[in-house]
Amino acid sequence: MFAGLLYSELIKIFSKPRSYIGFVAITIIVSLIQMAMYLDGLNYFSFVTGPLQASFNLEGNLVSGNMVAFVIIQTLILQIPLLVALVTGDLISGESATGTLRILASKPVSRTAILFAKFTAGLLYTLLLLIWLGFMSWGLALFIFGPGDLIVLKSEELIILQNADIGWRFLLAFGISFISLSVVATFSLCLSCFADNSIGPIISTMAVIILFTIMGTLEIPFFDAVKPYLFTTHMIVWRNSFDLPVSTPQICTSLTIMIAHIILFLSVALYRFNKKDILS
Amino acid sequence: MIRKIYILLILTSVSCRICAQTDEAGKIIDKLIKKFQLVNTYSADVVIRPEISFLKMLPQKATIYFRQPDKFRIKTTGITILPKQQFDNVMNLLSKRDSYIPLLTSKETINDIKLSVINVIPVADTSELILAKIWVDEVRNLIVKAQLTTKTNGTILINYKHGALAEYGLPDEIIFTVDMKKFKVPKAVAADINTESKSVEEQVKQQKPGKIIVTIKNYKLNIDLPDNIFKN
Repeated sequence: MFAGLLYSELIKIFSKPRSYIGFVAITIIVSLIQMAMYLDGLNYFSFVTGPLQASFNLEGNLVSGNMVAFVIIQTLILQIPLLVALVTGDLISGESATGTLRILASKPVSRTAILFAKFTAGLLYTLLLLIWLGFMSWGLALFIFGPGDLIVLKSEELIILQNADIGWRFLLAFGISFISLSVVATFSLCLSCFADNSIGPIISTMAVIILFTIMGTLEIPFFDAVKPYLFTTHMIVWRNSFDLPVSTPQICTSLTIMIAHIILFLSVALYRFNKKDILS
Repeated sequence: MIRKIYILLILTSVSCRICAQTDEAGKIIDKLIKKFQLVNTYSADVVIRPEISFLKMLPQKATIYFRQPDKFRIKTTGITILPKQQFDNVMNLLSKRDSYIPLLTSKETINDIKLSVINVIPVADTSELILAKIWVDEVRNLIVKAQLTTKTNGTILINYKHGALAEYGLPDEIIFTVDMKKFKVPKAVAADINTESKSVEEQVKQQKPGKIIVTIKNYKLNIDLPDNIFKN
C-alpha cells in the first residue's frame, strides 16, 4: 500500500515542470563554471592561493578535477536547498490549492501514511538532485581536468589533500549534504502543511535559510548564542569531510542536530496534517 | 705627521686583513665548488614534509633532477610546496664566483664540529640577494648551514644533513626555515561561513617561522638526463 502511495507521489513530482528546474539550473550553472575553469582556472586558483605563494612556490597541477568539483559544490551548496524547497514546499500545499488533497485524504489510507509517502518521495527527489550535482560537478570535472590533489581554502588555513585520499571524502560530503538537504525538505514539507498555496512555504523556506545564513555569517556576539541551534550552521559540516584529520566528533554532533531537526519538523507536520481541516 | 702615518698603518693593516679574509674564504668556496662539480647530473627521490602552522598536508613524494651548471626540476604527481629558494640555490649562487665577494667572518663550533662562517656579499646592488651567510665544515668540505637574506622573501635558513654521499656534497636531508607572512583570506572568497576566527594566541602562533623538511634518498649520479626533463 505504502509502495503504491510512494509511486503515485513520485509520478506527481516528476509530472510537474517545476521539478526539472533544479536539474536544468544545476546543468547550466555547473557547465558554465566548468567552462570558465577550463579557460581561466589557473588564474582563479593563483588568486586564492596568493597568500601562500607570497612565501612559497606551489609546484604541480592546481587545476585538477577534484579542485574544480570542490569549488562548484562549495558555490552551489547554498543554492541547492532553494531548488529542493521548490518541490518539497509544494507537496501538501500544492494539492491543497488544486483540490486533490481532499480526494487523496478520502482514500482508505491513514493521513500518516500519505505524509510519509510524500516525505519519502521528497527525499528521493533530493537524492536524485544531489546525485545529478555529483555527476555534473565531480564526474564531469574529473573527465575534463583529470584527477589531482585538492587545496581546501579556509579563511585562516589551507589544507592540501592528496588525490588518493579524496574519493571517500567526496562520498562522505555528499552523504552529509543529503542529510542537510533532507532538513530543508522536511522543513518545507512542514510549512506546506500549514498553507493552502505553494508560494508561501517555498518563499518562507528560502527566507528562513537566508536569514539563518546571515545570522551565522555575521560575527556579532549577540548571534553567537543562537548559532549552534540554527540548522544552517550544521548544513555546511560537509566541508569537515575535507579536514586533515577529519573532525569526526563535529560531524557526528552536526548530523545528530540535523536528524533531530528532521524528526522535529516531521512530527510537527504529522500533527498538523492529521489535524488539518481539509475543506477543498 | 706621525698621526697621518699611524692612520695609514691602521688602514693598511685593516685592508690586508680583509684581503686575507677574502682570500681564505675564496679558497674554501673554491674547494666547495670543485666538490660540487664532481657530479654532473643526478636524480633522487624526495619526501617533502611541511611544518607550517596554517597549512595541513601529508608528506608529498617527488623526484628531483639536476644537471650542471644550474638546471633543476622537481616532478611530482600532486601539489608540492617549496620555498622560493630552491634546493640548489646556495651552490648555484657560489658557482658564480665573479658575482659576489666572500668574506671569512668567524669560526664557530656547532655540535663539536668546527665551522668557518663566510659572508657572501653580492657585487651588483640589483641582486635579489642582500646577503648570504654559510657555515662550512672545512674538514669534510661541506656546507652545513646557510642563511639567505633576500629583498622580497625575507630570510631563509637552510640546514643540511649529510650521509652516504657527503663525499659529493649531496645532502640526505635539507630543512628550510622560512619567515611566515600572516595567512588570511576573506571568508567570502574562501566560502568559509559559520566558522569562528582564530584567537589572538593562535594568530601569533601562525606567524612563527615555517619549516619544510626535505628527505632525499636513492641518488643516481652522473646519469643521462634528457633536456625535456627540465622543461615545464
